[in-house]
Amino acid sequence: MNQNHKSDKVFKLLLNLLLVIGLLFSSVHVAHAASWNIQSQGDCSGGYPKGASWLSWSGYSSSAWGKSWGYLYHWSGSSWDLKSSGYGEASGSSNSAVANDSAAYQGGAWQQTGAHRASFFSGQQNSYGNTFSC
Amino acid sequence: MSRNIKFSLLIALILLGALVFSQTGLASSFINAINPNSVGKEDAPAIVPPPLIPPDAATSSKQVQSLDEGIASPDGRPVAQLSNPPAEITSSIYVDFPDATNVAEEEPGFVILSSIRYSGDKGNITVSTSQPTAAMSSLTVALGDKEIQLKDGTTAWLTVQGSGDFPNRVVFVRDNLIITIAGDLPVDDILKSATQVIIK
Repeated sequence: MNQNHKSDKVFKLLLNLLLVIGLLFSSVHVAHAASWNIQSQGDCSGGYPKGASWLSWSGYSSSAWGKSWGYLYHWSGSSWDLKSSGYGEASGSSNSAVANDSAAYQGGAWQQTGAHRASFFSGQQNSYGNTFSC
Repeated sequence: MSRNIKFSLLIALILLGALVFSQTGLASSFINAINPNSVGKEDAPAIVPPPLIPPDAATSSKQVQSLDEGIASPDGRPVAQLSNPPAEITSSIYVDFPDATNVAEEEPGFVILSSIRYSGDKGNITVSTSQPTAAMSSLTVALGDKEIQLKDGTTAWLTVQGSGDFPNRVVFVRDNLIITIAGDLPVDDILKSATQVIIK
């Protein structure tokens, strides 16, 4: 009887130990899997300048949110002029907040930049696209 | 005329002068630059400018033959430049003064006053001088990804892209001018160059 009681205790201890190890492993895994990425880019493929700035993420809690603002600039020959801006937001454990913007055709150089906010990082993160031509 | 009236007139003249000065010339422009890392989650976003450098294809650069007397503009506009650029980046030096006579001040943007490109065996550094238009100067701007202090105590903004035309970039404000130092040299070299900028 006493022997059985001792075995039960050891079994419960082992079970608890396995549970703790399992929980630890799973939380480390989730933390490791969570990630986010920001990017801006533009092109003139449709005959007019357009850009997109986006924040994509995965592996966060279902209450996670993200916001993106996009800015489209044109080189006038002497200045970078802000011609258009856009906004996008999204929420969920994995999603993308995309800001699209576009402007009337003007020849020359263009650039797209982005500002990003999210529940899973502090402050503002910026993204920069390469110069493209129309 | 009593002493009080004279004094009042003097104060009025000083205020009028300050008002006129603030309404004319490039010196009136300012920029509301913020630390992007300290903004609150619900704050309005700070506008992100592109690298404040003319695009390569649009420039009409002239080669600088000598640095003995520094680089001056043909029309008196301010020119930020390195006070003593190292030989490794002075094999060739090109300067560009974009035509700033038709700037739309009512449109948000950044006017590029001058841009100097230093090139050599070690890599490239571009130093540009710019100003916000009147419409941009009332907006909040993120001049870089991270707010830092240069070794001389100047507040600056650092952006490390790692790729693209200007993988490393430092921006700071001096005399109502936005100074950009960008290039493909290591960040430490860009930061060191930023402390050697003079404005002529």
